[in-house]
Amino acid sequence: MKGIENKIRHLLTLAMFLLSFSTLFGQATVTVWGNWRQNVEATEITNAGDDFPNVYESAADQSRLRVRRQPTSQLFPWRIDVRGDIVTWDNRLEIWIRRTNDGISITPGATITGGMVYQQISIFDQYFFEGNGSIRRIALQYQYRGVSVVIPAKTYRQTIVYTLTEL
Amino acid sequence: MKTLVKILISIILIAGITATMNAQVDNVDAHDITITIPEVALLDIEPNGSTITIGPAAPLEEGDPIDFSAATDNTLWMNYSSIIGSTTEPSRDVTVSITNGTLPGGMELKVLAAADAGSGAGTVGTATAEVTLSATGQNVVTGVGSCYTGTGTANGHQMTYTLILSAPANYGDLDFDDATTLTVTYTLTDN
Repeated sequence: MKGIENKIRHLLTLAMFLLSFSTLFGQATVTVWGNWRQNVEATEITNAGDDFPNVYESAADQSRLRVRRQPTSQLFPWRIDVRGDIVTWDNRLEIWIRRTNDGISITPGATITGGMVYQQISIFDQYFFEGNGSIRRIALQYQYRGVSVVIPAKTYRQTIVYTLTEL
Repeated sequence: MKTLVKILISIILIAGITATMNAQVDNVDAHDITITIPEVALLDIEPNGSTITIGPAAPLEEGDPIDFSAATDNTLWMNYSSIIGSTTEPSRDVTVSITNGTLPGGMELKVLAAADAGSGAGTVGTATAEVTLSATGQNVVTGVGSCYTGTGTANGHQMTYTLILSAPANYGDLDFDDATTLTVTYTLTDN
């Protein structure tokens, strides 16, 4: 009978430990703010026969991204992938993205690398940048390339999707 | 007692699975980016503001008619930039007409657009056959889509003007007092 009680006690202790562990270490999250809408103006063509400027660039901090996990005091390695989900698009248009700062560390000693050079966004997830620990206000900048009068007048839209993976 | 043990084992398994799931989790967020490309319809004749002079040559021998063989000019070029709306305005044409002045009697002024020089990109227009100019607009280039031709001379369509005697029977209508200036207008029109 005492043996059974000890077993129950051990099982209860293990259950409490695992539950505490799962509660203590929350899920890492990525959050992004800031859309970008670029209206190309017809008046940008000043001479008949000319084309639009080929490249349009957003503000350096057009979007801001945060990676966070509770407790924020803990370092944890992670990676961000990026892709574009097409809503309305023309294949002659391209979207390029880069990171323009290292953000603000939430976790002391947090680090971030990669993504500082423009890369083209495709419909498939691709590596963007990686880091360690919680960081906020990571600034993102975009470019539209391939803008031209040969593309029919219309509004084109993509949803940019960021995927956080804990490593 | 057995039931209690089963419950505890279940709790342990659930907690264990939860803890394992938290060790590697994918998390996703997204936002939109949008670009709006406007309708564009711009047309220009280059060199800008040019006036060309065309006229027949006086005969060298008494009894000969005046000579129209050199009454031609091909120094002007038509440039355009166009963006169509694929459903609302699938293409455009370029029409030409005389909008000011009257052609001297006994003569016809014709214009022919050459094929696009190929300096730009997109769906450039197709030149029609030679057009005899009048006050009524006539197509000189058709099927202009979303495109640009490049700017300035040697880009776009080279325009060749030719002045002719309308018919030998009309020679009596020629009058040197009829020398005049005409304004020829090109219009990029929606279809």
